[in-house]
Amino acid sequence: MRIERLGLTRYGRFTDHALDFGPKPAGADFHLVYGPNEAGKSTTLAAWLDLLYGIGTQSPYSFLHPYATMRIDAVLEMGGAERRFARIKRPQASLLDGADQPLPDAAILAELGGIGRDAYKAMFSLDEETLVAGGESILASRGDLGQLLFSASAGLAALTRRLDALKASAETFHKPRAHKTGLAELKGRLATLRDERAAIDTLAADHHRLTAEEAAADAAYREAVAKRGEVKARLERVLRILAALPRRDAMAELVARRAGLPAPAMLPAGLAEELPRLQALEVELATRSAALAEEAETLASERAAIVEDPAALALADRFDALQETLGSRERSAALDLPDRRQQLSDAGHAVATLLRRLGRQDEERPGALLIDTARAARLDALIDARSGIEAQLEAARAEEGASAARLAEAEGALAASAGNAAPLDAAAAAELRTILAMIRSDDPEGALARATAEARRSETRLGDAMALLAPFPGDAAALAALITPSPAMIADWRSRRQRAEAALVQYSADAVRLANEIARLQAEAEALAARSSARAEAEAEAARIARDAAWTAHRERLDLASADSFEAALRRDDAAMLARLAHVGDAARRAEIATTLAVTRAEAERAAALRAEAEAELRAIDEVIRAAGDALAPGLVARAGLDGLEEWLRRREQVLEAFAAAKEARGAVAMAEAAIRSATARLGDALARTGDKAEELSLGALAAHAEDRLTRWSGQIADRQRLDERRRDQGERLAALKAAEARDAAWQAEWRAALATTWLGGDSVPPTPRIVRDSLAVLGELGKAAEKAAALADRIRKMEDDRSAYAAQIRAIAEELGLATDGDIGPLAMRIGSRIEAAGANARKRAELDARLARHGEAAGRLTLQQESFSRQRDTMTETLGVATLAEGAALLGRLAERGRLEADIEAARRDIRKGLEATSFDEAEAVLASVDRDALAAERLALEQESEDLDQRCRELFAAKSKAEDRLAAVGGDGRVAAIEAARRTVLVEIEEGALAFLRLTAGITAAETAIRLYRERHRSQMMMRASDAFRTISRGAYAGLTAEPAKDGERLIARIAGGGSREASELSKGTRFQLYLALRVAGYHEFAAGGRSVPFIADDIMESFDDFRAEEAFRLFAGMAAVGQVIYLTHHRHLIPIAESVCPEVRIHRLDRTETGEVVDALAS
Amino acid sequence: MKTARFLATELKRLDEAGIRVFIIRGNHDALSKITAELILPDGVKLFRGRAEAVEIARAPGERPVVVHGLSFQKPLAPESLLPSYRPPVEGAVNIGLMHTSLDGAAGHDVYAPCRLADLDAAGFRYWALGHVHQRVVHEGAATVVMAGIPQGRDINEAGAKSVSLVTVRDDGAITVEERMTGIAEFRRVTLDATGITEWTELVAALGRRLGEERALTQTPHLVARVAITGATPLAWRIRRDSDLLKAEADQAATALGRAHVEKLELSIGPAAGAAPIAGDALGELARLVAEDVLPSESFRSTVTGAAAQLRGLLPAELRDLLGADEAASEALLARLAAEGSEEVLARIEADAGSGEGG
Repeated sequence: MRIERLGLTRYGRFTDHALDFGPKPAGADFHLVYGPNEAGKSTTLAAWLDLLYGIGTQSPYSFLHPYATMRIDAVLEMGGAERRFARIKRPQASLLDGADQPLPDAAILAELGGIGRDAYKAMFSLDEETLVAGGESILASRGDLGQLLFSASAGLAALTRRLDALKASAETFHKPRAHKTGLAELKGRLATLRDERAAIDTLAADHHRLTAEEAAADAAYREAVAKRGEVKARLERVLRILAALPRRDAMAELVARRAGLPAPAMLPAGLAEELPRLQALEVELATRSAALAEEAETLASERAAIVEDPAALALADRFDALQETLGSRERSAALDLPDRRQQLSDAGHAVATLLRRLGRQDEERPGALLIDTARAARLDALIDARSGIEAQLEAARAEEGASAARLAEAEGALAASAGNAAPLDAAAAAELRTILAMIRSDDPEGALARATAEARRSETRLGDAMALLAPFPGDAAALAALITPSPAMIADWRSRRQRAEAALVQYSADAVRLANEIARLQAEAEALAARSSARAEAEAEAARIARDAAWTAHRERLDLASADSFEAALRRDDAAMLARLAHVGDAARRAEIATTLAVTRAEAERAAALRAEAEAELRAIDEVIRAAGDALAPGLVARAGLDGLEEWLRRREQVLEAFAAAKEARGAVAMAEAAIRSATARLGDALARTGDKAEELSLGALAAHAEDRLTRWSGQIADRQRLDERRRDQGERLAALKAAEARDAAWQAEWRAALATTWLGGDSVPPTPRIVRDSLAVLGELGKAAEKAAALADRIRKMEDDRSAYAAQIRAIAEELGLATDGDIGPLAMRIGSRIEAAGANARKRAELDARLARHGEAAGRLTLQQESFSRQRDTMTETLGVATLAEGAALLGRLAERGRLEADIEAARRDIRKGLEATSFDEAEAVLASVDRDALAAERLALEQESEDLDQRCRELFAAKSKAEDRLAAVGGDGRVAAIEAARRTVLVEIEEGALAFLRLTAGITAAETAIRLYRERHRSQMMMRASDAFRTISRGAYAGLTAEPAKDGERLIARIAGGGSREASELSKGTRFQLYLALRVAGYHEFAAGGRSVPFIADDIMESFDDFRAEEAFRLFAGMAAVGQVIYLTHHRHLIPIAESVCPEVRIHRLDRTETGEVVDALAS
Repeated sequence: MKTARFLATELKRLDEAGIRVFIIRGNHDALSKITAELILPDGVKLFRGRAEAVEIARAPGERPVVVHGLSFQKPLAPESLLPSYRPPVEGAVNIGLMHTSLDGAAGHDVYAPCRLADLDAAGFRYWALGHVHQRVVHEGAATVVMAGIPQGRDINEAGAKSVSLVTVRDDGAITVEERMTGIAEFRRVTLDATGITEWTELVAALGRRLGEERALTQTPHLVARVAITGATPLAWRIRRDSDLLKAEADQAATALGRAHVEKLELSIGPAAGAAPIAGDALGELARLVAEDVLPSESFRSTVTGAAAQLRGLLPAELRDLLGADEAASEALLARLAAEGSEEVLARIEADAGSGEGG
């Protein structure tokens, strides 16, 4: 397969750019594409690969043309036939044929025989990077021949590195005699898990043991507990015995005591209780008797001590009654009187004071001064009214005064303002106002100013526009007057001119072409003529004659000789015929040429004529234009042509516009001035009508003046109004004042009348209402005070009367009683009272004593009876008991009771002892106790106590042990931890399994690959070695004689033979030489591939950066060699390589990727 | 003991709930001393070496139920144990427990084999069988159920796992319900990569396939072993980047939720139709490997030697990993060599494009 044409229709920075490699040449198919940097060389390679394999989903070459429009076209030669393809960017059906119909990708891929994109790039392309990597790989492979050959063929420079990496990755799992492999680690983990499990799990045997231990501990504990119980029981028994012994001793003592007591006898029931009772009774009776005697004595003596007083008793009632009535009054009066007297005196003072206030201190009858209610009320009313009347009067006066002042003020103001210019009337004022309003709104002065400015501007513009037409002699008016060609006419000229020009060009070209044609035809005719056809004619004639003669001869003779000569003559004739026919052709051809020549000549003449016509037309048009231009501005067309004319016309238009504008502006100015004048006139007239002479003032000043007049006029009107108002006011005020005065007078009269009816009105000048009011108040008080004094006096009198009555009665009583009647009544009454009381008390006391004495007698009688009864009882008892006195009887009973108690105690003791020893009967217990050895028992007790303590300790220990055993057993627990560890272990085993299988796979694979590479080497080495050796010799310019292989540990090693003897290992070569070696190997690889029958284009991208010219030459030689079997394309930006390539391979085709100024890409063939 | 005691604790729970438990020993626990140490609750009956029939205490009016069982003492049982069982009790629902490989299941050694027909004819109403981990139900004169296991442990125990809840009704009828108890289910999943040309397409197809399987599965968690087959131009890349593909599969599974990819098995080949051309070095290499290297004696002996060395280092449990006998070992190694060389060639070739060429 080779590329005939690669079209970068829309790809990268290219648009419709094609590299035309042409059909397959006879010699080397070597192409050199030259372009400066950024001209698109790598784009070319990328485009080729994209054409073959499709444009990737994300292409870096879409920066100019978006994805949808990207397109690569190509014409490929495949299998001897030319085929067109196009590749666009699309997910499916991106390959198109010449008619833009989709093709399957296999259409191209089949030619490549399954080589993928990456493989293509690796095998059939080469750039600086790959060259360097290739050089490195020669080092890395350590010169291994198989790897080098294979990697050169497959273009896989990093083969060794990859194989090493795979080996390393296999070794992470396992390596013989290594310790830290993946396998070892996994096995370590297995061991760890096993240990873990052992640590936390309990084996069945251990469990058995733990259970047994727990059972044993339990048994031991129980045994110890039992033993302890036994010992404790024994100890208890001993203690009981020891406790019982003292009891028995005590009991014995009791028995002894009992012996000394009387035997129990039968006594009547209740005796024991009776006796004490009698004893108590005896004592009681004695006591009572003594008490009674004493009491009798006391009573008698008391009674004797009482004294009687009958007189006082008789007066008691009378005295009481007196005390109740007069006595009480007397007592209160004694207290009150001083007070009351004081009060009376005060009241008197008060009255006196009041009288003074009234100014009538000498009045003897205060009561006469009082004024009755009616009169007082009348006075009150008048007094109330006074203040109102006074106030009103004052106010009316004040207001009147104020209003008079205001009136005067207004009059004054009016007088002042009236002194100014003559007043206006309403109509004139209105007119002025209207005019002023109009002036304000129209603002004629402002308008004038604006119009003036505009006029100035337009003049300036006019001047500028005129300046553009510099050479024009006249002014704008003259310019306007010119007659100019219309735009339609100009357009017409332009088109005619263009047509004429075009025709001229065309006909000139035609003329040239036809001239060439004529020349050619003439030459051909001459050439033909040279061929001597006339001779041929003659020869043909002669041959014919000869043939006829020979035939005749042969016909006559019919022998071999004549046949031969006839044959010869026939042949000659045939040849001559042929020659003639050829020449007939020639003649025809000549005739043809002559015809054609004539025709062509005619055409040429025609063309010349047309050309002349076109020239004339052109000249005519130009002349017209020039004439028109000169009419306007001489020399214009000559300088600037038709375009100049047009421009000039345009500028003229502008001038005319400016001219018109200036005129307009001037008109506006005039109008504004007129407006000002008219306004001024109107205003002046109006003012004059009002008597104002305002001469020669500007409109503004005039307007101001008018305004002022108007203002003042309205001011005057206001003043007058105010004056009228104030006059009205004043009138009202005066009326009010008069009314108030009248009211006041009326009141005064009434006042005098009211006063006259009382003592108050006695003076010549009537008192003021204020004074009267006060006096009325005082009179009120006076009344009260007088009343009060009178009441007091009355009271005092009564009290004194009572006192005297009482005093008389008391003295009477005192006399009856025989007491002294002089002295104060109070103490006297007291003495009387106390005496009476004393008498009463004594009487009562005596009565009481009598009663008591009577009771006493009764009690004594009862006591006697009781004593008798008691004696009888006592005697009975003592008899019964056989004793003399009760006391003895009591003692006897006591002893009997004691004996009873002892009996009971003894019985209790026996019971206790029996119980304590847990015997069935007391006697049994007695027997035991009797036989006891106290000392031995005490000793035994100590021993048992000790033993019990020891056993306690032992029980605690055994209990602890038992608990521990139970805990250990429980700690075995039941949960899933062990199961989890088991699961982890199984997982590790799975990992080992996977790892081992993967290891074996990889190891087997690597071994297989290495073996295969060795086989490959063996198969290909001879051819490749030879080619590589040749290539290396070439490119090293003979420095190295070639390459050989030497056996080495794992195969063979590549060796470079130095020219003239000696050798070097591939890994010992210098860097540059290694590049060359790599290049030689790649070249050999390409040849190897091509030897298989197919070839594909090989593209190298500027690999000779580091080559000097000589090396470059040799490299090109190698490429040229490759180009003999396949298409080789070299991309470069070094121009100097072009001549080198051409020198090495003259058939090389150079293609350029160049730029021109206007940005177009031009591709020219150069050979 | 921990695990055993755990079992005992759980049995105690059943006992406290009043549920009777009947246990027979199988071949694995025949040799165990651990279970001897356990003290089982009262409700649990562990059948001994002699066949017994245990009647379950029920109310007087109800049909009696008798459970028969036999624990075999030895780990190997070449003959049927059925004759050793006690005869069925008249008028009762007889339930039998037996540990047997039945008619012989694939992958299992024979253990107390007996025929299904024999079990049917024995006169029991229900046979509860154990030993084979695949569930089998047979309804005939007797209902015979090999209940399988409640949870699969690896890919060889694939599929949803369950227990069987059997109800004996008052009239003696027996219904069997399968209750799914597995938390995780193993499944083999195949993905046909034929015709897939883009890596992203492959990942998407993988995700889709996992999604389909996930949707079909009722079990809470799905553990898939994905086998990728077919002829695809991506074959080299898949081999080279098998780790990456596994990571993609893991991610797809995580995105699905409750799905996991255990392993990827590759049996893919390059797209057909590419006629190799002479001079294609890598193609030639592959041919050399396939035709000349793999069958060669020296190569085989090298590989066998490496395998033997490795075998010596493996833990005891994996001794038979590389083939239990010579024939199996040879076949396995041949397969490994073929796969391995494909992988290595893929790695060599597929890396070629990066950074080379201009």
